[in-house]
Amino acid sequence: MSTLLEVRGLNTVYRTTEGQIRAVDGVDLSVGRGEILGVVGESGSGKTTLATSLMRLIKPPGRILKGGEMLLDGEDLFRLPRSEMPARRGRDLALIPQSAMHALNPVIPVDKQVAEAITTHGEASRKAALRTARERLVEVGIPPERHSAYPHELSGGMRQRCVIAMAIVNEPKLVIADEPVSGLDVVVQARILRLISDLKESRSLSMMLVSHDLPTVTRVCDRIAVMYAGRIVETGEARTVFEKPLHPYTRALVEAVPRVRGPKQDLQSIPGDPPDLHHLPPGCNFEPRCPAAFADCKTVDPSLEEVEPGRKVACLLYHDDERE
Amino acid sequence: MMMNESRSSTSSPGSGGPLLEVKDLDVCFGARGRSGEVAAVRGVSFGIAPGEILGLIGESGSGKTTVARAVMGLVRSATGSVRFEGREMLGLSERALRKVRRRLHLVFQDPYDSLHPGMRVREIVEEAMKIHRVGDRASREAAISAALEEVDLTPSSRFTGRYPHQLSGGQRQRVAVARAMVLDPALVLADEPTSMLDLSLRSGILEILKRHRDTHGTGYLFITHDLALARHLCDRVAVMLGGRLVELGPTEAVVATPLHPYTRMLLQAVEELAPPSSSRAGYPINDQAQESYATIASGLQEVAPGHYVACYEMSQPTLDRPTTEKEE
Ligand SMILES: Nc1ncnc2c1ncn2[C@@H]1O[C@H](COP(=O)(O)OP(=O)(O)OP(=O)(O)O)[C@@H](O)[C@H]1O
Ligand SMILES: Nc1ncnc2c1ncn2[C@@H]1O[C@H](COP(=O)(O)OP(=O)(O)OP(=O)(O)O)[C@@H](O)[C@H]1O
Ligand SMILES: [Mg+2]
Ligand SMILES: [Mg+2]
Repeated sequence: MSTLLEVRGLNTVYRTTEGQIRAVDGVDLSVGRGEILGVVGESGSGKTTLATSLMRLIKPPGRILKGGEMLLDGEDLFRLPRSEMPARRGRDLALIPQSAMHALNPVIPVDKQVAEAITTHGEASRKAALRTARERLVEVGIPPERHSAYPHELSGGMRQRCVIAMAIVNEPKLVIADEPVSGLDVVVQARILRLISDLKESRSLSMMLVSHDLPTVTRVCDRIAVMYAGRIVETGEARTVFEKPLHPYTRALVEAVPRVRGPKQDLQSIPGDPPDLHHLPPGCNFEPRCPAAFADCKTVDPSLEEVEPGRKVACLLYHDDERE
Repeated sequence: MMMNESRSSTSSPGSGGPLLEVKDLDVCFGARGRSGEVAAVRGVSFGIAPGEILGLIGESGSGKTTVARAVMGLVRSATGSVRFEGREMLGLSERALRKVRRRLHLVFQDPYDSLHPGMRVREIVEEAMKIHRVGDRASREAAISAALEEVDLTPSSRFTGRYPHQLSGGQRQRVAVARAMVLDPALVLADEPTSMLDLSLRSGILEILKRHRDTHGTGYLFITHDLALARHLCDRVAVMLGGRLVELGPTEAVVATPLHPYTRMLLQAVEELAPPSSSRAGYPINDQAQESYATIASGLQEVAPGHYVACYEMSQPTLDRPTTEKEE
């Protein structure tokens, strides 16, 4: 599989009243052509900041630090003049934002909005664009009689699906989806995920799918990257990571998955407090909450190392050389 | 056959009351010729007792949010009856509603909707207390900190000065929950309040809700698409489809013996989506089947103690209905 997206050394910071926080901290990642990469992590771990950085949509007091690279099809989008980005968005890469419901224009019927997304980039006629728009809306499960509704006349999940339709309508090279199915009922979730899988097969769509929901991500993604406190702490083939998590944080995530069948268990939560980005520990960021931590973890900040082919983890448990 | 029509007339499903009693709620959104009339809620009845958590699940567009908004008195076209603490909510004046809303709180589905973009977190949480003249400045300040720390926004001083856009999605959702709990309402209508939270934080929030239930007897209408979550949290669940309730019962009963085909389909879908141990290919979920159930659902029948199901089979033309003659 050839590489479509290659990100190296991405750092994004926010200035706050208490000083600067690094919400994305030295992230490297890649997405192959026709591949779906899942990014999982807890609330505040930097997933949206990562997604927004890749779209170059970070606004002050946020800032992408110099020195990072984002190669899409070999071209470094971080080096493009800012003025060229709007033409790329939607066509080269498209974002399904986390609060999809607010990505819609309240005064335009949804089919017209999706059609507009086509006509701004392409040469399609209005009529043809509207036809394509409606086909996409049906694909995401909006029945024809609701196509001319205004956003406020649709349910939350319906609005979310309209935004998904809008993002895929121009068949961009890369779709960045920030929690696209959270808040959708399972039947619709299944339908959207199936649509994503189909597009991946038929049009070799590539995608970065951001979610807090590990089972969903495992189901549709080829590979997973687990984020903690702005860093990627584990990556690997999706099912392998889910079935054999290495990093203690990933393990805790897997253990927290509740079941519908079988005996009712208590919900598991990860002990300790979420990391404080203003005061990160000197060693491993997860050390204060880690059940497997040992003395070195307090002082050594582990880097993301390959431990098996295609499998990387940032944890001293697996790094023989750093350990001594 | 399990379902017996003669029972339906007397039983009022889920009369958990007396905190909230919803009867024959109908909501129809305006015609205006363009996108036609939408019967968003049709003949919905249920009750919530103090300290009870009722889960409301169902497909996207089935009317869950509309039910919550109607209970809050936010939907003008709602008809039927919504009694909160014995008082009829439908048709109340805006002024009377404002008073009631201290005891009744809605957490919106999208945290952007709950949080005024121009207000800082401190003001957002304080607003309701101010409107209802709760406490003095100092005690309000303490209540704000306590509420934020309770939802894991620690230290609270870090968040009080921020605007909503300076928070992550899950942080915003937690501010909305903190704001709901700070007045100790009698009933909280929570519309997907944890959809953006990872499992770990989510279980923390659910613990908070349970704690308020235990200490203050708070009742909840908890709208969620997540059956596993509903199973952990809710005493009873109601399932909506196409504007109607199609099943209502004790959570364990509904999960163990789902009666309505739509509920069964939901459970099946959860299994297919959840822990990916089984085959990864294909999602054998039948959209057609889903639509046909929507059109034939009728009133609820009690088929086991407290477990109600819409009598979908009754309206099928091939079914003979021996009891109808006798009733007339
Ligand atoms: N504009 C901003 N100013 C200051 N801090 C910010 C801003 N936006 C985000 N942050 C902080 O940066 C961190 C990462 O936020 P981000 O939105 O990327 O998290 P996330 O992983 O998407 O979380 P969630 O799952 O809750 O959406 C959080 O601690 C958040 O509070
Ligand atoms: N203001 C409105 N005008 C017209 N139709 C509306 C309005 N509000 C809601 N509807 C319609 O009513 C139906 C029920 O919507 P509702 O928002 O209650 O669904 P929901 O069950 O909350 O769905 P979701 O899980 O997607 O949030 C939908 O078909 C929706 O399009
Ligand atoms: Mg986010
Ligand atoms: Mg809704």
